[in-house]
Amino acid sequence: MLSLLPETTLAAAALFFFFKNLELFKLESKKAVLLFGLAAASASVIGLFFHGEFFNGAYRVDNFSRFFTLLISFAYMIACIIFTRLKECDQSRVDEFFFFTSMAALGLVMAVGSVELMSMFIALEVSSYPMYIITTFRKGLGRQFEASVKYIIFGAVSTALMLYGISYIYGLSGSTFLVDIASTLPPKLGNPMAALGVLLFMGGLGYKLAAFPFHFWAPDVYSGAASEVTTFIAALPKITATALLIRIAHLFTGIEIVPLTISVLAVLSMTAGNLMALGQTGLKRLLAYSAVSHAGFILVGLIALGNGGAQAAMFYASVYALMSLAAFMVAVEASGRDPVDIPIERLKGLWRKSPVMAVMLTIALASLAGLPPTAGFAGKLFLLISAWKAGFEWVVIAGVINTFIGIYYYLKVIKTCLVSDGRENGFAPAPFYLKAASVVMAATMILLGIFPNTLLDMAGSAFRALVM
Amino acid sequence: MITELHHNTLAYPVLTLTTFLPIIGTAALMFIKRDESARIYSLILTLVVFIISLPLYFNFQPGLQGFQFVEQHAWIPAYGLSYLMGVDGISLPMILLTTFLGPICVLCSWRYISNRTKEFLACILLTQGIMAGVFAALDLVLFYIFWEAMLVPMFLIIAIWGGPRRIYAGVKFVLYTLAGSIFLLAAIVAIFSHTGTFSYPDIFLKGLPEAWETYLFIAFFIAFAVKVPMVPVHTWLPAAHVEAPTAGSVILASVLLKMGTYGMLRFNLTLTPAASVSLAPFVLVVSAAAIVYGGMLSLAQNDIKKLIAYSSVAHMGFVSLGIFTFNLNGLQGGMLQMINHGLTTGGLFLMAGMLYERTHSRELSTNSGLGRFMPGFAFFLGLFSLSSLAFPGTASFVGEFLCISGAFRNNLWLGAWMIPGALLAAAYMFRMFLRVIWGKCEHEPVKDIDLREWTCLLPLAVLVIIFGFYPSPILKLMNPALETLVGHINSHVPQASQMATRLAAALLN
Amino acid sequence: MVHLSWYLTVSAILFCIGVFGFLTRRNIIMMLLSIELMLNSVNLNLAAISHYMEDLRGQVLVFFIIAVAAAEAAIGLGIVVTLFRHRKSIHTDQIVSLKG
Repeated sequence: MLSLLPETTLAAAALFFFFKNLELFKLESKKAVLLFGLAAASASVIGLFFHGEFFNGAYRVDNFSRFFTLLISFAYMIACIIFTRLKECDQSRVDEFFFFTSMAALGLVMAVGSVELMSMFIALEVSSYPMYIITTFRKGLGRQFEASVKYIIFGAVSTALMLYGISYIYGLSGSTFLVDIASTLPPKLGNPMAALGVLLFMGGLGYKLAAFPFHFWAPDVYSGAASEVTTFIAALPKITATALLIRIAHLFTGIEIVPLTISVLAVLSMTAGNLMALGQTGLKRLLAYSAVSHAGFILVGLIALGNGGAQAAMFYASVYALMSLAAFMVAVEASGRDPVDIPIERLKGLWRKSPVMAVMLTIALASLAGLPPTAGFAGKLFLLISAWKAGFEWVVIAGVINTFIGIYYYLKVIKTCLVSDGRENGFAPAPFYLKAASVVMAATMILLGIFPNTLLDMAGSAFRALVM
Repeated sequence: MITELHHNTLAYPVLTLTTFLPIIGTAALMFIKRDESARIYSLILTLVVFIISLPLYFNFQPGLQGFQFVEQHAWIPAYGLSYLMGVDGISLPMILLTTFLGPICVLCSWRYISNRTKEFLACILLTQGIMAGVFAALDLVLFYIFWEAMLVPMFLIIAIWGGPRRIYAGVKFVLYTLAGSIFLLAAIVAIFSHTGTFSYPDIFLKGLPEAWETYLFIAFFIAFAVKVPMVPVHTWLPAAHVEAPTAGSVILASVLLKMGTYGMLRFNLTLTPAASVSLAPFVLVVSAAAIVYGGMLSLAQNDIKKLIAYSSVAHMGFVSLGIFTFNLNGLQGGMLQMINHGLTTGGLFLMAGMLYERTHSRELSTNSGLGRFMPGFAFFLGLFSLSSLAFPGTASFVGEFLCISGAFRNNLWLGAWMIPGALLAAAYMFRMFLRVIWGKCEHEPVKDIDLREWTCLLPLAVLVIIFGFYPSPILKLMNPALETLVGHINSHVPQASQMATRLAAALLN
Repeated sequence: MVHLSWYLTVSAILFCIGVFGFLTRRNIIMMLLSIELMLNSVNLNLAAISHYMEDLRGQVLVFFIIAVAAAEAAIGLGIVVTLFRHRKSIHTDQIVSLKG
């Protein structure tokens, strides 16, 4: 039973807040969410050591799924720490908010463990609906409904694309179990339906990752939703999307057109994201476009799965989740008084108000920009090496050029938060645990850049579990 | 062989400590409350690092081939990365220069920096450690990490504590450097995909495919040329120098620029020798242009720091020219010029900073005639100016002389072209010196340099004079390494002429 | 007997109509309807494939999709209604305050 501990913990969190909403418990919600965040993270660590197969083989707990469960649970924990500072979220719906986030995290974990297309789809939907709903949880009459409509409409289309892909894969292989698909599909890989099916399926996941051309929702949802919600949406679904993309892509490595298409999309994604981020003045929109470009980098790993690309993509996805959470931790601190987006100018003088946060943001942005010795650099390096090994030299060139474009707008933010002096921008002093968390996160971002071995080894053994 | 590794025999890991002691020492600054104690702490730390690095000089055995004081540990085995540090006769003087300038940088900012002192000292310490790492790293990725890691602290030094256009200058510095180094990253990835290792000695042993050499050379060269800076990409340097605080300018001029020429010596010449030889004419032309162009620009400046900055462009032109003559004289001259330029220009920037502290202006007109109040200052300015124009008896003379003689050996016209460059140096340096010391004075009296400033300048001045009369200790250090290098390049000359023919054919078609 | 490819063709046409409608319509309700069309083409695909392979899993999946699509439509319409209350319009040309 211990092998389902992480899922159980998240489900318990969701149930707790569901009943808390009915005023059955007295415990303060913000304390409870912190507690459940820690519980989920520790459960995922325990979960690493137990494997098993459930629901007639539709749900498998192995190194691969547990690696991503670990990432999601830790991201959930950090998100929970940030949730204690709810600033833009409607305070009267705190319990609902926590219920929906726990539910979404549960869905994401379930999707990672699913090895059958149907359950994968259901789990993804379980994670999507709460996110559609919490997008509207913002104080005042901002743009949250508009953002939510965009999110849900693009989400529905991508679901339809994914399902269409599933129907073709099912039609070709006669099964929805990945194991059967892996054994029956290879002779039929030449069939154009296989390529079409897998590309449509991946398109649906590309939406979760905010990769080009499925990125249109990202800037609006990022800026329209409350900052806490964006924190969640920006980090957690990306981990699951990476996991599922690797799961699917490695079944179809035999089709030549698949890596080719992905490589084109990856380059377009990083270039489009970076170019559009250049002109942004809002912090959340800037991070949204930067997310598009990072989605491109994660996709680079998929074109070189056998050449270490899978490990590199897993490493990069985990690092990206961390960097994004770190950046949004500061964004949440800076938010609260803007109708839509947080202007970058709001960060002026952050170094005076909260030097710890300013330094952490600088490290996070340097890591996003891919400057050594941060984890972002290590991840990019691994991705580029594997892409070159796989024969995609032009992707490497595009990648390094994009690194250069990216530095410009990240530097703009670094400049604002460390150099510019602000008059009265009213940062409330952060509580001690938040400072401690940001120190730990900043240290992790650097340590992972210098000593990536442990995470890389875990990613390696996870990928081996998948291939077997 | 260049690739022999002689492991560290000292009682402590000298290169690791030299590199990481300042970096780790930065953390302690967080816990220091008062600015004054932070300054003292940083001074002591940099002095300790300098003392730690001294055995590098005394225990170095010039006769041994390859790298010494080597430290080798597995780092990221999955990607063939290792922690490989070592020095040879080329990198050793650079590391010593870095550690030597550390305390001076802290000292010269004692009064100059008064806001956010701790952060400033942290940035200085970080940069110092990272720069030592650049010169010691023998693993390409390790090298690249140090190379890039310097961007953020250096950006902050310029952008927080700099002059009025500091942010423009800082951003320009980062963008130019990064624009160059992305090619370096691509080249490193390409090299790894071919050789399967990032370790410099292993790559050297395995060799690189001939077809790639030209591309790799260009990729490496662009990255290093931006740092040097060579002429078309030099425009970040005056901006950064003018805006940076004194310590920032000293670091930039004395060590940071040398990273570019060091990179050329270390990577371009050894890993892509044939391409180096076949493409050398371009480099020589650009360097010669830099010498004259930098000199002329320098002559036209009224801002003291800008004047020195453009003179740096010219001086670094001598270095790259000396390196790409590929004879022993030229290489020796280039190396010596790197060290001497570090001492001389560092000294000049220190003095420009001292003037600024007194008059709050860097204009020649405002500072005109101040020499009458400051005899001590006049002495040092005279010495460093003479050294900068390569007056016999000062350090730069030896370097520049060797560079020119190397150029004459390479090509008569090239050597002849350098004479006006050397003359220009005399013109712009004397112009500045005369204006500042004997010009018409409209400024109220200022104080002469005090004890702290003496302590800053004296070590530099002493070294300038010693190396001017007796350069053989450094020459002895680096000669064996340079001789091997010359031999290595000469062995690739036939291959290079084939390559040049092919290149010419490709260009003509 | 009708060959499987007929079903697949019809469903592909349906799917393309859905995509076309989604891209050209500017009314959110119409966009949601187009998405419904796309989902139903998937259902048609799955049912046909399932019948020809004599494997019930496809039809089970159809039921799941119908249920999920209903839930999605419920949430989507709920949010559209709130949006309408605020903006008095569900025409995407008039909802342009977030220029995405």
